Amino acid sequence: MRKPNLIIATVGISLLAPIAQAENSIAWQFNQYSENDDRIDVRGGAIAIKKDFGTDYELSAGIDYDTVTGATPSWVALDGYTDQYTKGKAELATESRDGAYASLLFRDKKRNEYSITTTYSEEPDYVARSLALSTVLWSDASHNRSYNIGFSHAFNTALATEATTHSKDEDDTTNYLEVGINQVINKNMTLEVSAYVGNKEGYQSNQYLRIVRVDSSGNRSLAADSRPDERLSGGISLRAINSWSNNFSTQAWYRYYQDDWGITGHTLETRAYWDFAPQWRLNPVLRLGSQSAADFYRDYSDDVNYFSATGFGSNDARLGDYKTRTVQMNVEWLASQEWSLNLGFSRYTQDNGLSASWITGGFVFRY
Amino acid sequence: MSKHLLILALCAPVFLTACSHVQPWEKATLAKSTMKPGGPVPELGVFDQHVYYSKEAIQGGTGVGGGGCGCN
Repeated sequence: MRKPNLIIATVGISLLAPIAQAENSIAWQFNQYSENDDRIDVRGGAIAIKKDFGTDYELSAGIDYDTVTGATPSWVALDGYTDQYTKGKAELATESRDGAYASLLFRDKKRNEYSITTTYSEEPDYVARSLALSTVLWSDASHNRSYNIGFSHAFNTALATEATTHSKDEDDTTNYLEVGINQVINKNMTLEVSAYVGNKEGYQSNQYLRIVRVDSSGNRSLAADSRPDERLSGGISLRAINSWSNNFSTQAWYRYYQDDWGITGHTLETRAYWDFAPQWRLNPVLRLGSQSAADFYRDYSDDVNYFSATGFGSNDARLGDYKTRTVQMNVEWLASQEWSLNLGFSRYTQDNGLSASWITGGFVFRY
Repeated sequence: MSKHLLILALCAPVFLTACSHVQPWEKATLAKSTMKPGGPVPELGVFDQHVYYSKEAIQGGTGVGGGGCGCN
């Protein structure tokens, strides 16, 4: 499992959190991820720092690193045949990834926020770079409503290696825009409505996976996974946060997604924060999702799991039709005003057979 | 589906205006870290996003993104 830049979630959080408390912090997290059927294993960690400079400037920066091992589904030749294939597994070379990000936030006299973030990550077969701009504009002096606007531009390169299906480096670019309104409903509740659109151009095929193509004579052969070089996507999201009592609050988030590859999807996530004892906080999470398949996707187990001699085609299960479920439990120990420790366990399943578990843990030092 | 989205988009501003005016000194609860979208420990959820980004085709709607990966 090669992974996106750490900053994706981090920047998103900064955009979507107009009610924020200023403080300096240093955080460290580790993670350990394992899939069923001896597939992917990931070990990694991240360090993040946040530093305020007066009341108008805030600097955030961090690094992350991980190592990936395991195997992934792939076509393999049947014993004794050169043109007959069956679903097997391809071993992955142990691979390390390193990433870094930096973000500067500025507040003007009206406390509107403007931030700029840059990210970079590299692994033996992939380099990712991005620049993001975002702003939170308050509509009134009481700060009960904000308009949130964010734009990012990503430029990535899939590097050619002996194992990839392409012999030269391939680039892709993504432009992404998200706009939203965050509204204080009452003393205990906020609501947020957002719309987003993204356009990715360039190489988007899986650089390792192959498909089976059949020519007009009925001959079968392996060919590279092939996807369109443009993908336009968009949707809406809603988030409601409510405090039910002094020690219990909930968050509900819904997302609708659609793209021009034929994929539509829904995601619903609910989470609670319960301060069940002095210095202890419990955070259960339930996330449910569903998506339809891309127009050019065929599953390994389909009756027709091969493709014609030309056209797009992929057996990558991520482009398939499935439902997902995540059950997660996090616990946080507020050891002091400065220190907190956390530990979380997650169980993730797709109804196509994939399941995974991961553990995260770490500390936050606030000063 | 687009019809439903249109209805939702049209209703959203109406809903957003039907709320009370909260004064700054009444925002103690709203200022709690548990009321932030990322929660009190945003770092705890970062790896979750890695997993979803790597294992699902659906992307976006979680804030302004950047970077990318070779995990198509």
